[in-house]
Amino acid sequence: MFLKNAKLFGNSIKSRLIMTYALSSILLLSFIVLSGYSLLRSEFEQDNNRFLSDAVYLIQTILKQNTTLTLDKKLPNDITSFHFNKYYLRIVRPDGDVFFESSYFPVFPKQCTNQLKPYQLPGTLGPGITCQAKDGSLYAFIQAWGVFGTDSKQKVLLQIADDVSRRENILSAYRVELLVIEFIGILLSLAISYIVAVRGMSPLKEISSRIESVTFNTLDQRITPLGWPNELQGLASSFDRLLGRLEQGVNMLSRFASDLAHEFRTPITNLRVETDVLLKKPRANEDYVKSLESSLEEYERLSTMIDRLLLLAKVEDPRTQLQVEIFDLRPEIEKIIEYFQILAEENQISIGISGDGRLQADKTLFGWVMGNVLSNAIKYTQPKGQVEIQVLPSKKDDIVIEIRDNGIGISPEDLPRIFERFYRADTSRSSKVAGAGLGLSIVKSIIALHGGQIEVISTLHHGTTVRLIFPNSAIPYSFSQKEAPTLV
Amino acid sequence: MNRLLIIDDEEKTANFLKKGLEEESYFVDIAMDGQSALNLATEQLYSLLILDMMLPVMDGWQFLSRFRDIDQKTPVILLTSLNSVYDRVRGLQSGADDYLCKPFAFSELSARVEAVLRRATPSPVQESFEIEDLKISLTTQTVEREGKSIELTSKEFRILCLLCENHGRMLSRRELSEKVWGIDFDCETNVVDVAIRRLRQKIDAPFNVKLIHTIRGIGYVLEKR
Repeated sequence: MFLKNAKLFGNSIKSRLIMTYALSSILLLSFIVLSGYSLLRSEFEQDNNRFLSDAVYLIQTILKQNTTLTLDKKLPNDITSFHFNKYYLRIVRPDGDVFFESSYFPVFPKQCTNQLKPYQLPGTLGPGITCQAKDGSLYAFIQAWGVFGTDSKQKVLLQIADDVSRRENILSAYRVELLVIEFIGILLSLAISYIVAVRGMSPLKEISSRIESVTFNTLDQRITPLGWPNELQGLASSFDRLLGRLEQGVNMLSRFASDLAHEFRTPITNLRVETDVLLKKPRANEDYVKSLESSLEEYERLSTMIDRLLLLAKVEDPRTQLQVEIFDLRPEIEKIIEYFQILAEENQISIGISGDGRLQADKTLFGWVMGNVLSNAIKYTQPKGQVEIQVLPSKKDDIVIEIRDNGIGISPEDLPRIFERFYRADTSRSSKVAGAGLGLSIVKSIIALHGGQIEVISTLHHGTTVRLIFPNSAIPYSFSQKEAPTLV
Repeated sequence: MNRLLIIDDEEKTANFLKKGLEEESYFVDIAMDGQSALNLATEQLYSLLILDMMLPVMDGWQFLSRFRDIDQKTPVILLTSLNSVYDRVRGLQSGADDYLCKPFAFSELSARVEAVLRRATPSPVQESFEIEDLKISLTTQTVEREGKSIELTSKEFRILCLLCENHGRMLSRRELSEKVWGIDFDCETNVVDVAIRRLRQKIDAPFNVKLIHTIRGIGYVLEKR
């Protein structure tokens, strides 16, 4: 249907609208003009018929009332001069002879007079006919059998003709005028429909130029608030959603790029300077070895950084496919505690665990979260302190894991910023650790990817509590084995 | 003697790998693209292939599938910059034997080469190590040095065994975490350093010759220097 229309009107909504409007107004106009014309015409004809029948009745009455008349006589002058300037009359005797004929009575072709059977009088008269006489003019014509005088047996044929050329002329002039009016009407309706279509389409044009103006740098602009007709509101808001998704993706990529630059600058500067200085003059062998060893250390930093940035980029991408499995929390957490045990012993920190539960999550990523949170808890707890891990019985279907320490805590100024990338509360110490400052950002993103939440409650000098909340019922993404997006 | 084929279009990388592996006493050939690699592999019997996935014309996947058509046995180690689980799985399913993500430490590559080759030719299970005056018995789980018995925790024993197994080769912190504690993610911690320090106190501190050495920023190696 759509395709067929497209072929007929060209592939443009505007021209299709115009054509449709124009076509319907042509039809409407033609209908009005045609019915107006035919009403007029039939009005004229009825009028004519009335006129002819009136004349027939009048003549009949005259012939009947005039008792002196016989078929042998001529018609008296007063009758003949009475009416016949308005119409033509012929009276024919039953034997076919003409009894009376007004002057200029038209000569009709035979088939014309045969076409109308004479009406019987007295009685009602039907419509007459329109005939072209031999002189070329048009006449309305009627004939009827009338009664002559008092003797009802004396029948005569009354024929009355009326010149309707004038009427026909009027009608044909009228026809031309109507055609002209219709033509003008069509032109007008084309013009109006063009204007209507253009105006109707203008928001569409507007929206497309708005969309056209969106560039890489203006992905933050939105078109919905501009106010659109209802029909376009849906389009505008889906376009805005598309923009939102694009913006998010572009932001992620550009942040990834600037993070890379940010984090790579220091190690690469170190490497360059060190090598430059080393090459300035010949040196002892062990100097070279030392320098190369230090380079290797920088390279390792760089590798670790790439890994972390890639991991961050991956877990921040909502399309990332998780390798979800269901597992018991206790053994998993105990394995991680065992790893940190040696560090805890060293600092005389005790690590305790209570509670248990089953979790549906990506095991490796979960390990990452637990490992980093626990590592922080130990790092910021003084000797003889305690770290307590508790798997809490959950309201609803959530699994809550609480990691509580009585360490140095986080100051209220730092607390809102700990999840920011590269934020380091103590700049002095962690700047030595590669990719430090990304740990908590990654933790937060991993939990978000699982549809969960992380809460940190902390009092300076008294300790920190980290609550990891995992939803355990429905995980809001699909696990199809489709190709996972890769970032490299 | 094992002969290896490196397939990598990065000349610098290939040459360094060749140099490194030759120093570990392998014979090494280099192919710069898939087609010449296929030619070489049909002429010559290699013990192992090291395949970079980013190749011009015929990429690593294509090469791998064509190579596996003519040779199912020779092990292949993939080098790639793609580090998603999907790529790992795809690589291993396509007939690769191991998978290494760039950037990698040379020592890790050489360890993988060794491991893959060892898998290909099984050797008898080792029951004990003897490095200098350090003696480890795996059957009785005992360690002694200069004839003196040393008490180790199970984790320390495990670390020592790993270092001895890889005698002379550096083990990264990451590898140690993974093999000793089963922790395969990094979490900004110095657990391994602390563990090694404790091990050193028992193994090295009381003796003149130090065996465990630090590779700054990366890992540890056990050898006599």
